[in-house]
Amino acid sequence: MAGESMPQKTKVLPKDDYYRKYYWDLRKDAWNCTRCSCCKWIDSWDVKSARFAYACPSSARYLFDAYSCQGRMDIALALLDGKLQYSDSESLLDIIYKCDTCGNCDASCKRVQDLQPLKVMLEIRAKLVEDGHFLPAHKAVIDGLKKENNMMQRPRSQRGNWTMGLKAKDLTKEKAKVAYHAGCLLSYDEGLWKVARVAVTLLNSVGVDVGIMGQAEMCCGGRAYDMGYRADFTRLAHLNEEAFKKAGVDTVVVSCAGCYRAFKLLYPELGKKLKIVHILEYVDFLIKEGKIELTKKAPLKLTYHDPCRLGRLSRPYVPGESIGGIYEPPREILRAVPGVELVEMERIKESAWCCGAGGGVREAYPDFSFWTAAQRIEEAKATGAEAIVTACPWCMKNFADVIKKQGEKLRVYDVLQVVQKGVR
Amino acid sequence: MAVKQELSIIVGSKYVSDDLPTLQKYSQDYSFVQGSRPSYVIFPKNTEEVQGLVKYANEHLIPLIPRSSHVSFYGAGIPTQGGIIVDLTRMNRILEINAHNKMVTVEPGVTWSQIQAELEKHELMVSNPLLPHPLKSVFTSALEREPILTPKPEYAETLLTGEIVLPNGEIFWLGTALGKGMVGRKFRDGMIPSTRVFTGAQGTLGIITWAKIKVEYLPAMNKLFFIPFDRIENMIEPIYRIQQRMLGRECFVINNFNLAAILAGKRSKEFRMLRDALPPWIVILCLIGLHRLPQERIEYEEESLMELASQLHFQALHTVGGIPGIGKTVLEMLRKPWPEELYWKFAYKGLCHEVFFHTTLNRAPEFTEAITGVAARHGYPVQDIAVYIQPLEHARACYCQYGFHCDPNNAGDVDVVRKLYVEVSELAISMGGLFSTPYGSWADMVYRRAGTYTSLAKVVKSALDPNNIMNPGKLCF
Amino acid sequence: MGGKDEKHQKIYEGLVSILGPESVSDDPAVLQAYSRDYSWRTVLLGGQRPEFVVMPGSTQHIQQIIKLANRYKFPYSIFGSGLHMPLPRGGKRYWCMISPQRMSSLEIDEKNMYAIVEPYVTYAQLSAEAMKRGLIVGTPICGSQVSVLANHLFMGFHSTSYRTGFATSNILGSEWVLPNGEILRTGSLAIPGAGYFWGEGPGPSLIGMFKALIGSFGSLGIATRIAVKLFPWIGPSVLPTEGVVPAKKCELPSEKFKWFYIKYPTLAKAVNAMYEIGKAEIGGVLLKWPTIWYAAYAAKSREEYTRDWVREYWQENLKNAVEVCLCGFASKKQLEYEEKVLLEIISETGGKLVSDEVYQKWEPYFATNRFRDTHGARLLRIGGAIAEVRILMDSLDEHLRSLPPAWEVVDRHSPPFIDNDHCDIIWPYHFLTGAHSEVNFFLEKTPEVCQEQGKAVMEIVEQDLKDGSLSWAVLGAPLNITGPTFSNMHLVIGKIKKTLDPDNLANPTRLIDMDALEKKETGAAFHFH
Repeated sequence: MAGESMPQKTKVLPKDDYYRKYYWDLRKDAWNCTRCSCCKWIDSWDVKSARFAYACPSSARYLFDAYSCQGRMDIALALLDGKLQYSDSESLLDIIYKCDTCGNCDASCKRVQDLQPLKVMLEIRAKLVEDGHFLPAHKAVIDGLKKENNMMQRPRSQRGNWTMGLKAKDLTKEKAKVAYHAGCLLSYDEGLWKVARVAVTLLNSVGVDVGIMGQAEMCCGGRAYDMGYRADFTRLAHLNEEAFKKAGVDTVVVSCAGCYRAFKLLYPELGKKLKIVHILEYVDFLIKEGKIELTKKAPLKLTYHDPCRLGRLSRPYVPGESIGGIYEPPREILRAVPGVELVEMERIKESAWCCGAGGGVREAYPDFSFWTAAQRIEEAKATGAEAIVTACPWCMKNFADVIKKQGEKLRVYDVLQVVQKGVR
Repeated sequence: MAVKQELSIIVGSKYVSDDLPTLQKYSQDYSFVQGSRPSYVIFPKNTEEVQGLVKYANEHLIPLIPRSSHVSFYGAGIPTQGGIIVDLTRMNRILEINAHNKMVTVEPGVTWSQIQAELEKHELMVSNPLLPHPLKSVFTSALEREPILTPKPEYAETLLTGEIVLPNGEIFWLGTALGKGMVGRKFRDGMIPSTRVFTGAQGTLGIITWAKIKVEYLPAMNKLFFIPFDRIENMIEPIYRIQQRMLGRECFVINNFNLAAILAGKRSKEFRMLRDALPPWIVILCLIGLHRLPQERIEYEEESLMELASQLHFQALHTVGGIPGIGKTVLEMLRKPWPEELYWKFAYKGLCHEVFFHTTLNRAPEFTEAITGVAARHGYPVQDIAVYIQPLEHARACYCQYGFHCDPNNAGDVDVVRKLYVEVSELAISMGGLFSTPYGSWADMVYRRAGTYTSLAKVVKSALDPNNIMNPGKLCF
Repeated sequence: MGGKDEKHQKIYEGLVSILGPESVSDDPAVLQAYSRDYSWRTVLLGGQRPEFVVMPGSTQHIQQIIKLANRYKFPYSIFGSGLHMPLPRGGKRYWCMISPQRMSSLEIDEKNMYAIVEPYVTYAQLSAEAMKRGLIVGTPICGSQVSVLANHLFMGFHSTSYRTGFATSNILGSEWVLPNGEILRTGSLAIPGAGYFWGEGPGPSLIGMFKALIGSFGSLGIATRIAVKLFPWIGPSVLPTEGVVPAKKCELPSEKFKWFYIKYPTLAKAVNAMYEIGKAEIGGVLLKWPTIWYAAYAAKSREEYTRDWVREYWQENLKNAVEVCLCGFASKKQLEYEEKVLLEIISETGGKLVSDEVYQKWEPYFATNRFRDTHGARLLRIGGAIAEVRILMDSLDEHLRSLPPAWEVVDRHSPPFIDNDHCDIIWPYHFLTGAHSEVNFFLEKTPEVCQEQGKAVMEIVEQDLKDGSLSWAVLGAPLNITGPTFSNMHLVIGKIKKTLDPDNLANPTRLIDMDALEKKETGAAFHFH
């Protein structure tokens, strides 16, 4: 009868288990991209203006759909199915590598789908490298990595220079429970040494049994992984695990979001179990415990930039669970500093716009890297903030370079530098 | 066979007229349009007869000019190249009243006086324009997109769907009326071309033989307000704000001339006294309560209105000009056609020529000032301009109407108004007024400015009416 | 596609001379991203790449592209966000896909409540800018990441339609490039100096040639800019969110918005209640959703969906539920008044409010989608595609009549059609002037299931043509197939198409098969848009 509910037959569910309970499958993920375009934009509810609605730097800059996540899903599928050959295209490498691997697309996608598009893109990169297709700029960096165990194309002998005069155990000679791992950029960029030094000094000051590898420290391998160099990543993962084990370390503390994500998320994929803490997690704890007293006024209007690898890229994917990450601790730390006014940009937390430094983009496409950072600087300026604060040296570096080049007045700080201002 | 004979076979000889007085009557109307005389006036009774006429006209390349109303104001129903007037006033049945689905199905000859009286029995109404002529076709008002007094988008677009005899004689149905098995058949946008294409067409794209028109429920309770203003500029912001809060049903602006004309009707002696007593501008707003807790609805809306009045420094009154019973009088007229034989627009001098167009509400003062200036230059008394401004759809736009009165028996008077009409029209269009229904001389003014639109309209016309038999010479055809 | 022959090169060089090399590509990897979309149709079509993709930055660019197309005779089409792509078909060569990403300007006339948008402006962007100004745009359930322009011209069924109507009523002035290369302006925009503020006229409203229930797929012209209606918004200027995806909350101020979910024992009773609510003219949002959509939106994962579906959580709690949001447009007292009226209606019509548990599972996390949809793409999660078996617009009573036969068609194809609890979406518009309904549910994105889908849709088309029904399936079929039933309108449209586009280059495998028409053949080489 019209209008009456008609009983339907027995429930029919999708035939493929994949649709009933997600599991990772490269081709299925690429195939099941629904081309909804969510990957290009941040969560619609969080859009506060037309200007700052984009999620994906590569899509926003290069515009062709191929440069968006969904476009890359199409390309991935075509490569896997043999519908596209490497020789067909002059732009293929460009498309695949003009991506910061920031995962903003992935976060947007996970709002509505059970898919791992970032993982698809990283797998395709690994496939490209394995099949002998790579960017010369990346090759140069990886050759350096193979030789000197760092991503900076600098001699390993210079790696420990940042530690000059610093009081900390030498883990090549002594054991300690906690290792502070500076990471490649902090180790080699003299302008950023202060970030690492502040971290070690602070750990010492609160009585943490901390040591550093100094010159013997090796790259975490995270950037190599993102560029598609799995073998190099794996080699370094093994070496790092060995070194920490030998030094008796059970906890690794980092200031670099890239290292954080590598140790926290990528190493367990190889079966490596390390306890990883970002320095800000610890500082947040110390402040709440009263072990760090912030009594000096630091009148500053600042805005916090969420590094992708500290936020949305720092947790393994479990369908249905929050896109976790460290979002609140840095904010709580900043709010605890007297005189600080924290203002938020429009795209924050899991929707934060990338700084432009990741995924091998800074190395291979400096213009694009610069452009991406410049977009973020504009967003920061729109808040009226005097400074942009972050928790990753790569973000700091990219922002500082743009600010310098453009002659902007905005300052760049690491969170700990702001904390330092609040300590008498 | 002679034409008259053949036409008689289609509609019956009683309904074919070629006597001179009749033909003369149909070669003119209340507008300035100079038409030609038709050869015949035909009065079909149903779709089959209309279809027969159209097929005949195609075979013999004779123009057809459809007319639904007993009265014609703007020249759309006057032939320009002779031809046959298809007078649809015999097709005057109200075919179905469907309160549940808020629609009434009418034939073209159903008049405003007919429809509102009938619907009132069912506690319904068609959203009406300002005091339409009682003999005007409801159909025509809807088809020609005449603005309604209620600026609610939910009420707008009163023409839903219908049945149309296309110029090639095929019967088509507009919107989901195409779905003959459907219950309702009332969504106006079905297949391309949608109902919209056939609106504002002045009968040039076919003859609609029945239409579904949206109806609304008659309120259980009403509370009418008059909001007076000395200056037109001062009413703009209050109207915007009232409409943003979605207060009330009917809401329109009328100047003292027009309101006096409405109140005086045929009692011309009272007209001047009324006009002098009334403020220059009056916004009329009717709060309503429907069948559930009507009083409470009016109460909260009135409170909201008074809050705005306080913020924006205007007064919302139950009376104006000290005129006794004005509220009751206006309310009684609000949802009905004009009740008297002499149409209110003609009471002042005998004839009124209106220039009307769409613009945005914030520009209404600018247009009014400019038009007033032109009138003054032509020696037309500024206080005799009849102004009606209708906010549309939450005041996102408005319809502005300026009436110029003349004595049809005074050639000098008529000449002043004729020149004024042309100059005001040119001015309004050059200022960006949209003549959404380009009647008469407006057609040339509009279409010479809208090159590609005109070309496309001609392509569509040519596809539908390759022999150009439907009301040729109108619009850009 | 064929190789880069001389014609290809000529076209390429012509495009580059118009747009510059950075806005033109014929690289297969770039083109690969224009070979499929969300729909089951592209699964069956097998992903044909265009031969060029171009990014114009202006109306004049599009005009030049079309003129070039007319000179060198190559087909072209344009899309919005890419959710729905007018893909090349039938092996046609030299197909040029127009990609709108450079055309993203947005202007708002706050006072007169409209926005002028180019093709690459999303609903989220427009909504964000509008809300800052106390305005809102109707939102489709495909999500706010889609193009405002494209959605308004294609479908545009909005969740706020009860007050704001559907997109077809909300297009104001618009600008198009016709297949003959001329620039057309409609509505008030046709008059120099008038601007975009009004959509009808002058004279016959020709916008009705490009857009009715659905659009014309760019086959009669390409829209480069349209103005869309905005409506008063009483909510916050920025949506208040808390939490992190996929469990983000967004709750509107309770003193201005109040949500009700009212269960009824049958669809007829739910429809009856909707009629009463419409008659009382209360509410800012009124609709009836199918349980499968509630389940799809609410589930944070496929596993959660499957679990809740099997245990029939949403089926038990929200079957035949009517959803209402009361909005205090005038004041808080309006909310109080309307609640009284609504409760009276609920009591009279035998409705029952859902439990607090169900309310809390839904309202804080999903209700705001009615004003700006962010979860719509979840409808594509279980299976990867969506069925769109039957979509219709007419009176509510028509939906009561026509939903059961549509369900029968679906049941005949299940399996493989997934269980959908007799999907029945009903969206009223304009105080119950009419309503929109859909039978639309997940589809497993395999060639076998999509073929079944194709069969089901053809059955619906046949059933509708026999039954005299005008559904989306009928309207989406080529006019060659449906025109003969509808006053031979295919001949009229064919003439118009032939005049404007004599070489049949504007999205040639949509709307009408001109080759078949000219050969006076019945049927068409393609089936659906």
